[in-house]
Amino acid sequence: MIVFTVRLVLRSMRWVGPILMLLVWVVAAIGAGGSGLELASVFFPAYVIVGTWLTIITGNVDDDAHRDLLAAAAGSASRLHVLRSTTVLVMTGVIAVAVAVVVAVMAQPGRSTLNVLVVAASVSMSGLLIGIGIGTLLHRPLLRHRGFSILLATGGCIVVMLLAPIQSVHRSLNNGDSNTTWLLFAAALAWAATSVLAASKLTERRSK
Amino acid sequence: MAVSPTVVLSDVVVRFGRTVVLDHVSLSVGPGDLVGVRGSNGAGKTTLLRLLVNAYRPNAGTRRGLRSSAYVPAVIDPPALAAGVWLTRLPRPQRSDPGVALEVLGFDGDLGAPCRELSFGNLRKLLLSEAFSSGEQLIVVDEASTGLDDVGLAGVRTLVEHARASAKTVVLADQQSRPFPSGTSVIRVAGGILHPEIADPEISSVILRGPLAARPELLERAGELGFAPVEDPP
Repeated sequence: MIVFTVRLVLRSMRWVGPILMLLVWVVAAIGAGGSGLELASVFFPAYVIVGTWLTIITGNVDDDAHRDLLAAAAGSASRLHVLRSTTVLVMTGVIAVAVAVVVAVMAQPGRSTLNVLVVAASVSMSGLLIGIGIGTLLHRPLLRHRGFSILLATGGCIVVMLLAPIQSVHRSLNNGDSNTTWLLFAAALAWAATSVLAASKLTERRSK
Repeated sequence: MAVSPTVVLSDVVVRFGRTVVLDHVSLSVGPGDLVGVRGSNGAGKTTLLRLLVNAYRPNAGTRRGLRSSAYVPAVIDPPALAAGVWLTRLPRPQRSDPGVALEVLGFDGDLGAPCRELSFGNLRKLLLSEAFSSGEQLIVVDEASTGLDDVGLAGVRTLVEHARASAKTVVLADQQSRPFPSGTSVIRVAGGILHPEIADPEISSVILRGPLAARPELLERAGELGFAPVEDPP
């Protein structure tokens, strides 16, 4: 079902917007220069936005009837919801790791390439997980109004950027300290898992 | 040896806002059963089908049985995929060759074209082919005759017979007066309850176990709708 959903999203062409935004963000950040950890810090907000955006797009990729058809094939509406969020993680995870490799290769001397790669990948995945956790609550059948989806997604991303722990991780990365990134990753994983499971349970009753 | 039912709905209640769509409904379908569901617009046919395929969880009551199934909705917005890709890549555990079902139904569209370029009738045939070649034990079709020409209607009957011969459970819904295939146990959905329209003693595993006897207010409503009380099976 994950591969099938990837096909649906790719053919819908709705991925173009968020991926273009990420590309511009990455190119601009790399052009501005900085250490590998600084770049990881700069990319984090982009991944939160892309994770949220793509999750909403994937959730809304088909109409209610086609989603029912796929829910029947998947076993339940709840299971389909989880599979769709997982699909976004797979799609964006591949991109995040590829960008982390670029960052690691361009890292300034003084840190091992592998170390920068691991930190950049974990920060990127943290951003994606937080974004998926936001987006999974903001698409059909949980939220049908596109305008509210956009407003709440924008608000959610802004709130995440302003949270004190996130700011603290940013400061640490800019100071060359990557110790807090594991905490960020663990918190992002817990948030995404909780959010996706809660959304999947709500979906069973909100599927029309 | 007792055959375990494919899906069992027990004392199910579905409400949309203040409207009670299904009111303490129970239904059991087993391997080889062919069930037809009738009802006027908004009676709750589609809701009943969605409960059967586990696309919706009731407000009260339970659904037990197979998890995955094949479901053909009444109308879909065609997905962006090419028809052939959609038909063959939709994940199924044991798919058989969908080309056979397409031929039986008289599909004459282009499988290489996007689904949205198919005519309504050919899109219906594509969905039906997917369901009947899916290998799933439960096949549920909403608005079974909608959009089909004579070849398509005859094809559906052939596919249903074949599915029943393979001990699969088939549930068809239709609001039109078009007859269901022979041997169909027909249920009418009205007033939030199920009523067996035709009692077919040969299909005894289709059990409507309405709680009417214990609920005089429902008995009264069934009487007003012109239905005889639903009796528990022997």
